[in-house]
Amino acid sequence: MKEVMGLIHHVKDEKAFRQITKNRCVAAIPFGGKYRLVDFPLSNMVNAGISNIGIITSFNMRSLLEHLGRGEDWGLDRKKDGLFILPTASIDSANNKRKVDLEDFYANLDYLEKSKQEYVLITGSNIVCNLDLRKVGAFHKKNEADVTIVYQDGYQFLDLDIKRGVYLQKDDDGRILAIEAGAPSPGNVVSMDMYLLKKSLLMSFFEEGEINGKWDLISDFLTSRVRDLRIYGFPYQGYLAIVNSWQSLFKHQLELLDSRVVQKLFNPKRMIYTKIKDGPPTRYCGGAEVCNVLASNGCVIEGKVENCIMFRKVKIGRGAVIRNSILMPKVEIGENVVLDRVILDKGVSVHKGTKLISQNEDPIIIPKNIKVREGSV
Amino acid sequence: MKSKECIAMLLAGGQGSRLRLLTKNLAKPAVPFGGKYRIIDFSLSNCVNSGIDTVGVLTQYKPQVLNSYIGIGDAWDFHCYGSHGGVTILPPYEREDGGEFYKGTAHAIYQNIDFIDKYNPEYVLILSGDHIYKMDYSLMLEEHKKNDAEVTISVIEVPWEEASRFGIMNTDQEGRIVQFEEKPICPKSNLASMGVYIFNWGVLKEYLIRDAADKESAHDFGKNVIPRMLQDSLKMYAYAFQGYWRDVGTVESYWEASMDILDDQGCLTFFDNDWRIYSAPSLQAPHYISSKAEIEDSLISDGCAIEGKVEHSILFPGVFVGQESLIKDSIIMPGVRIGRRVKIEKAIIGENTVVGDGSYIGADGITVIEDSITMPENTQVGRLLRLKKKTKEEEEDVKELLG
Repeated sequence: MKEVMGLIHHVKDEKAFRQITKNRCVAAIPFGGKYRLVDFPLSNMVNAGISNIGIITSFNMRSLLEHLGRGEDWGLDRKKDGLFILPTASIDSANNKRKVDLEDFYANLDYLEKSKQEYVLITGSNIVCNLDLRKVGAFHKKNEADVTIVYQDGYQFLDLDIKRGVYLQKDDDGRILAIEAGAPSPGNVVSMDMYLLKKSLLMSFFEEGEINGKWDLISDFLTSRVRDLRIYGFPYQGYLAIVNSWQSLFKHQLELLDSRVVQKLFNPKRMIYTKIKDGPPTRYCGGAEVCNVLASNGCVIEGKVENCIMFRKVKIGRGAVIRNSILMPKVEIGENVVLDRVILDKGVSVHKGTKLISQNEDPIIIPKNIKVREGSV
Repeated sequence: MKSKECIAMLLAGGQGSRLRLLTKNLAKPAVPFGGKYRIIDFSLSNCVNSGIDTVGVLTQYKPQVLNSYIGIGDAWDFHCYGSHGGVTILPPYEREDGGEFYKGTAHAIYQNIDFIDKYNPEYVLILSGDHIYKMDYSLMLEEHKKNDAEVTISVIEVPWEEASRFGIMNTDQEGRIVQFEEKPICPKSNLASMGVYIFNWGVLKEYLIRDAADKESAHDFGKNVIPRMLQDSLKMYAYAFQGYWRDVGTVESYWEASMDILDDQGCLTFFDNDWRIYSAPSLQAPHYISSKAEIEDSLISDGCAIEGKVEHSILFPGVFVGQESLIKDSIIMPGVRIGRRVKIEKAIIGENTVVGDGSYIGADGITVIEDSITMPENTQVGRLLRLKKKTKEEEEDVKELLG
C-alpha cells in the first residue's frame, strides 16, 4: 500500500483510564504482556506495506516517545518516509470531546503536504486487532468509495463504554446510511475508528474547519454527509478489543488467556511489533505453581500465579497467591501476598503478607511505582 | 585515526566438532545457550562491559548464522563507535599472492595484522568465543600494566583431579609464569589457562610473523606461540580470575553449564543488572502457560506455549510442549514442537525439530537430537543413538530401527 500514508490519532479521553494515564498517553498503555496499545495500529499498517506514518501525541508523551524511538522496531527508521511524531493542537485535551480531531492533523499540515501518498488511513491508537489493511484498500477501490470505515458487527462494549462507541447503519451493499456517536445502532455495528480516504478529501475538510471551527471527523463531517459522500463499511471479523476505559483494559487483557485469541491476535504471518527489550528468560523456581498465564521475559516466579498477565521483569515471592491480575513491568510481589483482580502498574512493589482482593467486578488499580503495605490501600 | 589502548580479537572460527550435532549447521560461538543467548554473547558482553569498544571476530567454520547474528553489533552497542571501532567480522581473505584459510589460532591473528595495526593499539586481548563467564578484562589489563608484563594469561583454579584436562600454568611466587604444560599427566599446579591473553601488540606481532614463517609450527597460541615466548623468557604473568568460567566445548560440558545456570551455580546469573549479558533477540509474543501445565525449576523464553510438565529444563523461544508430556533435565532449542504424551529426559533437542506424540527420548547419558527433523509418533531414542535426517521412506522405518 505504497499509495497510503498512516495517521494515528490521539484518544482524548485519558480520564477514562484513571491513574494509568497519569504518566503516559493512551497510545502508550501497556497491553498483552509486552506490547503497548499503539503497537497494534502501527503493526497493522506496517504489515500492509504502509511506510509513512504520523502519530499524534498528547503532551503526556514521554513514555510514548521512549517506546517509539526512531521507529526501528517497526522498520520505520528510513531515509524515505518513516515515522513522524505530530504534536497535538489541543492544549486543553481534557475538555476536548472530538472523536477524531482534525485540528491535530491540520496543525501538522506541512507534514501532510509534503507526503507523497494519495490516500490516508486514519486510525485510533486504542484499537487492538490484527487486520490485513490491504483488503481494506482493495475494498475501497472496488466500491469507488470516498471513505471506507472498518467496523465489526455485534461488538459488545462494557456497559460503561457504550457511550464511547461510534455506531453505523448500513445497507446490504455495505454503504453507510448513518453514523452516530454514543447511541447503539440496530445490530450493534461498531466503528473500529479506522478510516480510509483520499488526502485531498481530508484537505478539503481542513478548509471548512478553518472557516467554521468544527474539527471532528465524525460528528462535524461524516455524520452529515452520508448522502453526499460514498461512505462504505468494511467488515472485520477477527479478534477485536476497543480499549476505552480502565475497566475494558482489564477485561480485554485477560481475554488473551484464551489461547485461540492469542493465536489470532499474534498471527505469525502478520506479527505485532513492539520495542524489543533484551532480558533473560523467565525463571520458574522450585515452589512455583503457574496456571493459565501469559508472561514475558525476565520474570522470577516463586509463588502461585493463576489467570494473570505478567509483563517483563515481574518478581513473585514464595507463598504468594496471585489471581486474575495484570502485573506490568518490574512489579515486585513479596512473600505470602494474596492478590485477586488487581492491576499493578509499572514498578509497583507489594510488601510481604499484604492482601488485596477486589470486592466487585472492577479491579483495584495500584498506580506506578507505589509501594504497597498492608492497610495502605 | 586515534589509537586504541586495547582492542580484542575473538577467535570464533573453530568447528567445535566435540559439540557434535550442535555445531552441524553453525559455528560453536553461535550455538544457543541459556534459553535465549548464543555462546558468543558472553565474550562480546564482557568486552563492552569492560570498556573495550573494538573487537575483531575471526570466523571461518560455517559463519552464516554467526555473521547475521552479530550484524553491526548493535545488540552490544558496538554500532555506536562508527568507523572508530565497534565489531568487525574477519573471515579469511584473498590477497595479491593468493589466500589461505586460517591454519591455527595464531595464524588467524597473523592474517589480520593490518586490521590491528589500523588501530595502533598498545595491547591486544585474545579471546575464545566458546566460554561461558563474566569477566572484567579491564582489571586484567590493569594488572598487566602493573606487572609491566609483555604477556598476561588469565588462569582459573580447577580441582586438582581435573587439572590434567587443561593447559596448566606453573608460576613463581610473584605470579610470573615459569612453565606451561598442555594436559600434564602429573600437574604441578591447578591453575588452568582460560584462553584469555593480553599481549603487548609489538611483541605479539613479532612472534606472529616469526611463527608464520616456521613451517613446523601448527600456528596455535597454546602449542607454539606461548611455549616459544616462555623459551625466550618474556615477562609473562598469570592473572588469577575468580568466578564462574566454563569451556563449553563438549556436549557434556555444554549440558552441565546449562544446568549450572538453572541451579544458580557459581553466581552466573542472568538477573544481574551490573554486568548484563546482552543478546540480539528476535521478536516473539509472550509465552503462554496453560491451565494443564506444570513448571518447576526452569527457564522459559518468549513465544513458548506449554501445556505439559517442564522440570529443571531450559526452553528457548517458540517451543511448544503438548499435553501430558514431560520435559526433564533437558535443553530445548528454538522452535521445537513437542507433541502429546512425550517424555524427554536429559536431552538436547535441536532447533525446529518436531517430536511426535508418544515419543520417548532419554535413558542415561545426554541424548542430542539434530536440528529440523520430524520424529514420527512413538519414536524411541535411547543413549548412543544420534538420530540423523531421514528420507521419507527411512522416516517410516525410524521407529523400527530405533525400537
